[in-house]
Amino acid sequence: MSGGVLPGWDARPAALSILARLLPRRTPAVIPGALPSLALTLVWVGLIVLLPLAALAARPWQDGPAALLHALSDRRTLAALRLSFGTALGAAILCTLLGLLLAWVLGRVRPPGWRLLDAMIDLPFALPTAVAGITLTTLYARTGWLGAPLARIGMRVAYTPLGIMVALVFVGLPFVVRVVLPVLRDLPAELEEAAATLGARPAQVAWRVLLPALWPALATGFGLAFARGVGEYGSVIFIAGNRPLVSEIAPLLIVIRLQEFDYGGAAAVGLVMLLAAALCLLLVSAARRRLPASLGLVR
Amino acid sequence: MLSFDTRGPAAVPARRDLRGDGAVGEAADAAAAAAGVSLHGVSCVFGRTPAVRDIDLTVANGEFMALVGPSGAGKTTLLRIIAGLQPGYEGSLAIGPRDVTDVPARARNIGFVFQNYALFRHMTVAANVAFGLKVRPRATRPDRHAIAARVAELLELVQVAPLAKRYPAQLSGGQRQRVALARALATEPALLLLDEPFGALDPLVRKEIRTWLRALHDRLGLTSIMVTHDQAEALEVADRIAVLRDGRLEQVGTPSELEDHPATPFVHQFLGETVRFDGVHEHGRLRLDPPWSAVPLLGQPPAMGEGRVSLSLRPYEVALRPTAEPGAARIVDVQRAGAFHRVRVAPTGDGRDAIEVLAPSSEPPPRPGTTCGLDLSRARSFGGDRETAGRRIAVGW
Repeated sequence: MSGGVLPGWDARPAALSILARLLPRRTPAVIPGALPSLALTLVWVGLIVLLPLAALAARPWQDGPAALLHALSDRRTLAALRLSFGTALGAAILCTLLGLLLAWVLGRVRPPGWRLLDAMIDLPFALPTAVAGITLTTLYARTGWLGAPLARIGMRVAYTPLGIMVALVFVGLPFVVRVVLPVLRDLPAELEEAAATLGARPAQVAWRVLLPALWPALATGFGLAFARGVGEYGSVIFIAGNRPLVSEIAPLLIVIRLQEFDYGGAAAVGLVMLLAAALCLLLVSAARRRLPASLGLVR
Repeated sequence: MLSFDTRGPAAVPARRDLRGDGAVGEAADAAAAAAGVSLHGVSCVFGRTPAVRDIDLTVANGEFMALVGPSGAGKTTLLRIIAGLQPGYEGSLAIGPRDVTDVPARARNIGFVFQNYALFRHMTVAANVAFGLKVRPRATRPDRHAIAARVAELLELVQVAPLAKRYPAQLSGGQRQRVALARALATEPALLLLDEPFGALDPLVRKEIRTWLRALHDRLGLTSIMVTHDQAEALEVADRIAVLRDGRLEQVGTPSELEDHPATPFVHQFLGETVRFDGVHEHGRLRLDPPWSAVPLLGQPPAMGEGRVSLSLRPYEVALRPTAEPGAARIVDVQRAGAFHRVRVAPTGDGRDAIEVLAPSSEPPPRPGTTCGLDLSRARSFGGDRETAGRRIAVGW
């Protein structure tokens, strides 16, 4: 109406002033160039993270809401989503328990050779996930070192949801250990000593003093392991067996849909995963902030 | 059983009865029963370095004892041994009439206030104070209402009642200190142990809290042992002071005993500023070492051993007497410092090797450039291979 895009309106200072308003007001200007750094960061985050996510969110609607609904009401899709989130949840819980134990051993018990053990914790990060998946499959297959004795007691791990959980625990465990261990190490020994002088037995010290101090870290580790588990692909597809409705995970289904040139369907599954994962992480974050131990950290 | 009687000194005998345990049968046991803590031959070695060596120490019931010494003297180690937090020590240790040498910390019935307070930061102030009661086995655990009442009472006692629902992170240093104390007192410990309790407080709060702590100790009839590196703090708060050095007990005594009859020059020096002279005492004549050898001595301590001696004085105990004798010391300069004149005096005319002494400002100050002799009659003397008026003890020197 008024002759194009607002003549004389220079976008740059306006954008900066909007940014400036977003900054906490009392931020002291001690860091030189805080504003340009923030702008640069936001641009990068936008390009690398937000733009692809926005594209993903936009894609399924292009074929119309009906197509989206159709893609999502498919039995196979629902089964795959249920499997992915279910196994990720189970694996994250297992990771949290095992990770706490491992962190405890590395941080407090310190058996001989704990440094080596400490270094090995990170191996699953470095190992190509496919290698991990193939190795686990070989181990847990009916003829494998672990699979054979398990088969004798009637347990099947490879090519079942249980196998998927095993793979997810493998890749998720380092997250919990790496998040919990530094917190555990930083807890002053005086806390345990104070509890002891007040008459607490070792189990009471662990349960009432140490664990509560670790809750936020455990919640964070749980969230990371869960998020990794939902999206994990490489290590899972070998051990899962990938039978539709039984052991086919959602990320694999996306690949299958892509191979069928069903881009809309693939994006629909992707969108649901994105939303569900975001919701779960928000819940974990909210839970962590409500934990009383955080009161020492968050004002 | 659960409530402190906070009405005043009358509370003291009541608490002592509580702890008597009927062990006060014979007269010979009376001394042992009155002991709040007794240590015999306690040693502790870290790797190869002995942290604490062969300590014998008795703290009387109701006494406030301070462990002082330079850092690394072993005072905190000794406190942790008493608390049961330091494994691997030798010797024996009794709290009250009960031998606790092999008793773990949780069963020693002590209260420990840590230097950094070690409050549980995920618990409110009230929950922190209640902790010691909540972890008791069901049989001896008070019910919820009794615990709540006791917590309220303790918070009142340490004057932080309005803060019950706060978290440690929301408290000031002084408030944390009080909460830590309340938590330690909640289980009615037979013994209160304090590790540098004022170390993290700013000077004003520190002064206030230590006066208050001492009053609380008296009111509750506690037996307390405090570790500090600040001798002024120890002198102000404690009934008796144990001076540690290199893991050994140098001397134990009341502040005035330590001041008047220090066992070693170290004790004298540790408790305040000193001026020290070395010399030889032979046939009743004292000759100071250079550079003071030529300075006229117009007074010497009455009782001194024969042989090599060292004399230690507070700066205000060195008296300067005007004299024109040859070799007289020279006043370098004079400054007013509160109730004193700070006088620098040198053994020779060129002003080298000057020492600082304090002269009362009620008297006219010596003029710079004038000459004087030394009157050391108020000095503590140490050494002398024959007699030292019984002031030497076996350890250390």
